[in-house]
Amino acid sequence: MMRCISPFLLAALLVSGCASNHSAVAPASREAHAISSLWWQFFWVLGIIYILVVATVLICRFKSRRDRANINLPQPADSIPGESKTHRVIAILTGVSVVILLGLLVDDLFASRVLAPKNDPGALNLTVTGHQWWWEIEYGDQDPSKVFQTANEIHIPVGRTISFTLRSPDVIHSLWVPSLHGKKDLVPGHPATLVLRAEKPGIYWGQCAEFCGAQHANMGLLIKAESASDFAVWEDAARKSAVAPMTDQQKHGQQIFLNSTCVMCHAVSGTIAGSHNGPELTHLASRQTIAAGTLPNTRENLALWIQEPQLVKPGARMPGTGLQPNDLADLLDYLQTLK
Amino acid sequence: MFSLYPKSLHRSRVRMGGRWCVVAVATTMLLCGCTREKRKFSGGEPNSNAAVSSVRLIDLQPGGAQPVSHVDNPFEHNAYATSEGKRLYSSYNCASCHAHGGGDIGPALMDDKWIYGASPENIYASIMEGRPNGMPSFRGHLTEDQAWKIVAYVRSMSAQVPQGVAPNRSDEMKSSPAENSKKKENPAPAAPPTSGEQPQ
Repeated sequence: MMRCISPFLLAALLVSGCASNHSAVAPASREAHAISSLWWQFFWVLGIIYILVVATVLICRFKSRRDRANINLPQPADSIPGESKTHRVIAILTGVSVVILLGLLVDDLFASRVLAPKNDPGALNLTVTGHQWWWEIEYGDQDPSKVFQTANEIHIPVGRTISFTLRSPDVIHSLWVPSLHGKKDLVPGHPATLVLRAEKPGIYWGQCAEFCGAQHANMGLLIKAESASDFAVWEDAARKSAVAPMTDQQKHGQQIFLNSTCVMCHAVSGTIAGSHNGPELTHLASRQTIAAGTLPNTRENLALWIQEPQLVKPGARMPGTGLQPNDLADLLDYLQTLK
Repeated sequence: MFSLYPKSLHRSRVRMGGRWCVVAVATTMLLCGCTREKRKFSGGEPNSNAAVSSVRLIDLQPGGAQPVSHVDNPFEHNAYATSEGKRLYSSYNCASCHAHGGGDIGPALMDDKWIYGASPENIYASIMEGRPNGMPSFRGHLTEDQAWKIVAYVRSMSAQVPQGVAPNRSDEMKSSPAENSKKKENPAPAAPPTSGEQPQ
C-alpha cells in the first residue's frame, strides 16, 4: 500500500515545493483559489481511480495465470461461467464513471463561474499591453489627469476587484501570474479581459506564457498586492511627475538622457521625454527589476543594461549607447533619483 | 553491344554531374539565404565617418565631376536589418512627414526623385545631419546601426535593395504594395524646393 501511495506523495511534495509566489497551487486570489481547488479535486479523484485501475489490472494478470494452471479444457463460447456477472460489473462501473465525470464537470462549471469576468463598478481598471519583450501598464481613471503609466511592475490593492484589459500591438503574448490567475492570451487587435481579486498581500511573479520571439523567456513581470492604504500611497507617488535633478551630476545626467538615444523611446514625465516606444521611466528607481524581470535593479546592472543591452538580452529593442564613463556615471546618478 | 556500355556509363556520369550541379546550386542558394536571414543584434554597420566625409553637399566641382565610390551598406543584403529599419521608421515617426513613402509635408521616398542623393551615404547624411526646409538632424539620437538600418529600409521603398531582402508585409493597413513588390526606380537628382514651396 505504501509503495502505491509514495509516488503520489512525492508528486504532491514536488508540486507544493514550488516557490510560493509563483505557483498555481499556492493561490493568493479568489480566482487562483478556484483553480487550485479544482486542480486538487481532479488530482485526488483521478489519482485514486488510477491506483484502482492499475491494481485491478495487476490482480487480473496474476489471477489469470493461476487460473490457467488449474483449467486445461477450453469452455464452449455460449457458457462462459460468470458472464452475466461480468456484464453487471461493466454496467455498474460505466454508471460510476458517468457519475464521476458529471461530478467533475459540475466542479469545473463552479470554478468557471468564479473565473468569469464580472461587472464591478468599484473595480480598478488596468490596461496591460504586451510588447516584445516587456509589459506596459496603464492605470485608468474617470479623470484623465489621473491616468498614469508604468512598466513591468503592477501594484494592486488586496480585496478590490482588478479588471485587466489585455492588448498587444505586435505578436501574441500571454499573461500568466500563477498565484493570481490562469493564463490569458494578449492577441493583436482583440482586447481580452482578465478579472481577479487578490486576497493575500505579497509579491507574485508573472511570465509571458506564449512564445513571442527571441527574448520570450526574459519577459517577466511582478505583481505586488498590498493593503488599500499602502496602495493609495503608492498610487499618489506614481501619479506625480519625476523629481527635478538636484546636484550638478544629476543635472548633467538629465541632459545626457534628453540629448541621446534614450529620449527616442523612453518617457519621463515632467521633461520633454514623452515617447512610448519603450518602458516609462518616470519612477524607474522605485522598481525592483530592469529589462522586464531580467536583472535586479542595481546601479551596476543598470550600467550594464545601458551600455551592453545586447549582451544581457540579445535581440531586445534597446540599443547599446556607448556613453563615455563619466557621462554614464552622471546618467546613472540621474536615473537613480527617479523614485 | 560493347559500345552500349561506355555510352551508358557516360550517360550516368552526365546524370551524376547534373545531380552534383543541382546540389551545388541548392547549397549556394541555401548559404546565400543564411546571410540574408541572419540576425545580427549589434554592429555590422559601415564606417559612418568615412561615409559622411564622402558626401558632397553640392554637385558643382572645380574641373568637372569626379567619379564617386558609393558606400556599400551591408544591411541592404539582410532581411532582418531591413525589417528592423521598417520598425524604426514607424517608431521614430518618420511617417509623420514622409507618410509610408508617398510623401506628405516631406518628400516622397518611394519615387525616383532625390534632392540630396539616393545613395546610402547621402541618405545617411540626410538623416544624421538634417536638410534645409524641415528635415531634422537625428545625430546623437540614433545609434549608427539604427540609422544604417533605416537607410536600408528607405532604399527598399524604391526597390534599390534585392527583392528577397525587402519587407514583404506591414503590420498596419496599407494603401500601396509591400516593399518587395515595388517597381524598381532609377533615382535621378531633383531640384531642391524653392522657399515657401512644398517639397515634392
